[in-house]
Amino acid sequence: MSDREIMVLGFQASGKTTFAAALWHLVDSREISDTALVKGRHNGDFQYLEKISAVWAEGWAVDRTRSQEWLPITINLRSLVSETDVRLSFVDIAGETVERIFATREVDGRVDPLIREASGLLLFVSALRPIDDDSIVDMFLAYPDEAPPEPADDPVEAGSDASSAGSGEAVPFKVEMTPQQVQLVDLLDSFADDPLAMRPARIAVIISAWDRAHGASTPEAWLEDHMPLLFQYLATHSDEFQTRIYGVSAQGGHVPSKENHTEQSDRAEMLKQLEASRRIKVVGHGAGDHDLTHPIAWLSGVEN
Amino acid sequence: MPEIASACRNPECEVATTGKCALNHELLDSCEEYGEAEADLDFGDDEVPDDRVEAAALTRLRSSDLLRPEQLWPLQKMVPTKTVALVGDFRAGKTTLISALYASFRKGPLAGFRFRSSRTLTAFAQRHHDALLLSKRNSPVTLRTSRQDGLGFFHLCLRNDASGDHNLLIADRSGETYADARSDTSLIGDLIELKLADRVCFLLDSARIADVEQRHSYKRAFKQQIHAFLDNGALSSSTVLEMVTTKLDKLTPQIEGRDLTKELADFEAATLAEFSDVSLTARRVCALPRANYGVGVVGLDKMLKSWLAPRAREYPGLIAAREPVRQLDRVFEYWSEV
Repeated sequence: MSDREIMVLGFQASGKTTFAAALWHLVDSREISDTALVKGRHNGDFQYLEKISAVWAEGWAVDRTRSQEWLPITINLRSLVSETDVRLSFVDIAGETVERIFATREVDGRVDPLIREASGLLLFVSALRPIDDDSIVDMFLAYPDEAPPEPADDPVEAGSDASSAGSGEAVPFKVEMTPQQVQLVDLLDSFADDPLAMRPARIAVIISAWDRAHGASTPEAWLEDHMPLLFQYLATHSDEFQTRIYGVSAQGGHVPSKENHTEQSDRAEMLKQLEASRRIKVVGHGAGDHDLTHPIAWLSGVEN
Repeated sequence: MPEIASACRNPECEVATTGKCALNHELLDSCEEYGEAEADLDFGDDEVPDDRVEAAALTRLRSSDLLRPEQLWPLQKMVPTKTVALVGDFRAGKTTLISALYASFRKGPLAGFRFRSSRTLTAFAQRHHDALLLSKRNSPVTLRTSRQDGLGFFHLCLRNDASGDHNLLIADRSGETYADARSDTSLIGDLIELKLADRVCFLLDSARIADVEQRHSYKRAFKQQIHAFLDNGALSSSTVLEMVTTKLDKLTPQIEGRDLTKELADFEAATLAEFSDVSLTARRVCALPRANYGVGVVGLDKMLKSWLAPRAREYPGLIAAREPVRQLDRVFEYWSEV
């Protein structure tokens, strides 16, 4: 048995839990035969996986409650090609925890060893992420007629919300308002420094909600276009770790939450699919159309 | 002390405060009333509170705020750095220029350089926040550096495919401090960034050149700042000096019969001539074109290229000693003749 410590990192609603739910259904149902990894020996505690994968299979959005901050997940997988057993162990850390690490610069003692010992990293970003770094200059460069006349210079500090530049409604900076791509880059860079010294050999970026990444030709092109700082960071660290970027739609479409099932969605259409695993869509690096195990196989060194 | 006050079960006994047992026992242990049930006893704070256990288990990440001068050495020990000091009056655009570099890399590579890392990303994000739509401002601004902020350094590590990695440190401090040092040169010694800098950029504010009332005193003060540093030995001979004209968006070409572009060009030329002995160069930038968006962001790419361009290595010349006493020192004389 080869134990691979894979760290899963991503902010709130970046698709981590849905990925885990769909992955468990995929390998446990055996609906798709040509995945890079198949389910290994069935032993361990799968209650959480069972719960979320049932929600996923019924076509509901897989939500996690805020109280579920710390959920260890272990899935035994096996590569039939190399006859290697892989135990994928990761802790599904709540996105709030990751955001708190950035804001407070403090890492919980339970997260610490996961970072130190990570041989691979699954990094989640969502194609549906809120736009948080558009600049005022870029907007008025694109729409010059909309630009207001320049406000009079005044000595009020820009951080205050009373400046004439801001019409009295300005939102002052809080560290949590740092754009997401900047937060991710800073976390990766800080984890790599002392005292944690994280040294993953490989990083797989999962762009979740790939079905909603309209207009992007490849996952690489999407990341370069939407998160250029993170893209540059990954590219300029190719001497330290390898990177692959996958587009993943673990749900296969827009699904409602069970609590608010009246909202418009693709659920009815998706439920018509005879095998739920075929809802999954994976793009990039030769992965099968529905093969969520492909990035994990690569991170584990089973797939080159 | 509450622990002693409750040392006896008899409420009328004052043994805790007077040391005298109400039942006149000389040996307190022989008094049946003395002492508490073990469960009621307070053994003090030997048990560490839960929150303290949690605090002990926390690992602290390095800061991503501004680097203070004492934090430079650990970085400089590991990698070669280039340090740029931006000097200018209050509102000359120093922090805006720094912020614009960060903003540019947030959107992609600049001038052939790709972002590799930064120790100061939160500091950058904070300075740039008021130029984002997220700030809900109508017009972009930059968080200005106040006197209380002291001296700080921004850090960028940038990669160029041909020349490798470059670690750039950019010093930032309030314009008021530089103005103070201009009029009281005894304060110049405190400006340690000048000694640390490979390049010092003097920022010339176009808006004040355009201001018909301020322009004369401003031009004088601008040159006085450079003279003050040179005359007081604040700059080493190897430091590159540069005059950076900011806020080109404020430079409406024609205003009230004045040709502002020509006025600026004349002043730049006169200043370069005045400081020709120290090889001052000039460039123009527009980092945040809020007065005229049509101008766009201008000049950052060339500026960065010039900041990170490799400098010719300077070797000290060997000068032979006059009539040296030691045989070893005469070798230099011999070599000079050869």
